[in-house]
Amino acid sequence: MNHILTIGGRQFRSYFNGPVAYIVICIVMLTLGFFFWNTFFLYGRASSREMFRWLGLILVFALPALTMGLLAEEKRTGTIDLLITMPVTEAQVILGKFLGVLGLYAVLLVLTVAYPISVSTLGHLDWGPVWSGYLGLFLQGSAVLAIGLMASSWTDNQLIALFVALTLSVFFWVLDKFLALLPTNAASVLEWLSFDYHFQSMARGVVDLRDVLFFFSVTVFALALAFRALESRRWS
Amino acid sequence: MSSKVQKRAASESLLFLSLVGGILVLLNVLIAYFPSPRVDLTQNGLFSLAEGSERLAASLDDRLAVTAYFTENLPPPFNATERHVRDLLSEYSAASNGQIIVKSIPTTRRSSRRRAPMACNRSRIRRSRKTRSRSSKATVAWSCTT
Repeated sequence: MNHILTIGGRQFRSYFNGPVAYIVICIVMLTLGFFFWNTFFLYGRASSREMFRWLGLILVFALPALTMGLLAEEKRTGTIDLLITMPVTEAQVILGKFLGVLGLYAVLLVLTVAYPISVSTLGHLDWGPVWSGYLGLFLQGSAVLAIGLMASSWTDNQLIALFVALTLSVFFWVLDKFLALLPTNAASVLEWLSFDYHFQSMARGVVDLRDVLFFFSVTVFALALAFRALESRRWS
Repeated sequence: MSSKVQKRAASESLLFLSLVGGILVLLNVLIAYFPSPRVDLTQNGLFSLAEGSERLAASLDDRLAVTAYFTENLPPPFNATERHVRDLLSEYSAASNGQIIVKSIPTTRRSSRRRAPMACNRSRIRRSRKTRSRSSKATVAWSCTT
């Protein structure tokens, strides 16, 4: 556990030593601010629902930028070999890196709390859906970050990792948008695989164990795939 | 590492991955078809169905496909009603453990008056509501078939 925390802490600090964290945080906050406040006064409701709708979408595009270099950069510079020769296992490397980027994501989410607080000063805000929305964002973000880490473990090129993670994340987010065109059986399966379907339930204030389990499953499976990709260096 | 040991390590790793994937898929499939804990955190329990509605939805023995036609970009306050209808349909879908399938079809304001009645003619249950405001016309039509 100590090794995981050490790797995670180093990864977390390294984000703030470079420009990536600041750029992503600024872009997310500015984009969210524009889209959220743009229509807020037209709706005339003290609700954070629209914020979660936009934030869920923006993060699907923004988070792969945080994960693209996690393992790809280490592979390109050769430091991954140095890391593996140290007394740490591949699983500890994967979990440490994941915890590091998850920490940065948590900081990003904490910064967005400024929006619901602003809304609560303008009218009566129901805080129940706000907390469940943040739980949903955290779980969806964990899944997207795990997919990004998995993509980063497959290649030593950051751009390829970014495009693979982006494609997979957007694909899982957009799945439930075309259900009307599909037969009923296929629609129910695709709806179940959609990130947005599970997230929207939490964004409106309902926490269902099924939604939590879905995001947990995607996260664990993506991390297991990343672990296998790193482990495969032994026999490839 | 010899090639035999390498092959064994590779197959063990693949087995581990398949096992993890299999367990996760099984858990998700099982929980999809059984009632699972669900907490409504809204102040007034906005999305908590009545006990009777929950029991009815959970006892469906066949698939129920609900096709809902929503006019796009409705102005306030109609968009709140639209969102509430969508949310309630989702709650019924969740309470039915996958037996109620909801399909939302967006319609433009111009086409909604023309398309919605066509959908209703095919349906067994018909319900339509037309709302007129000074600046816009909005139609919500539901088509439910079993």
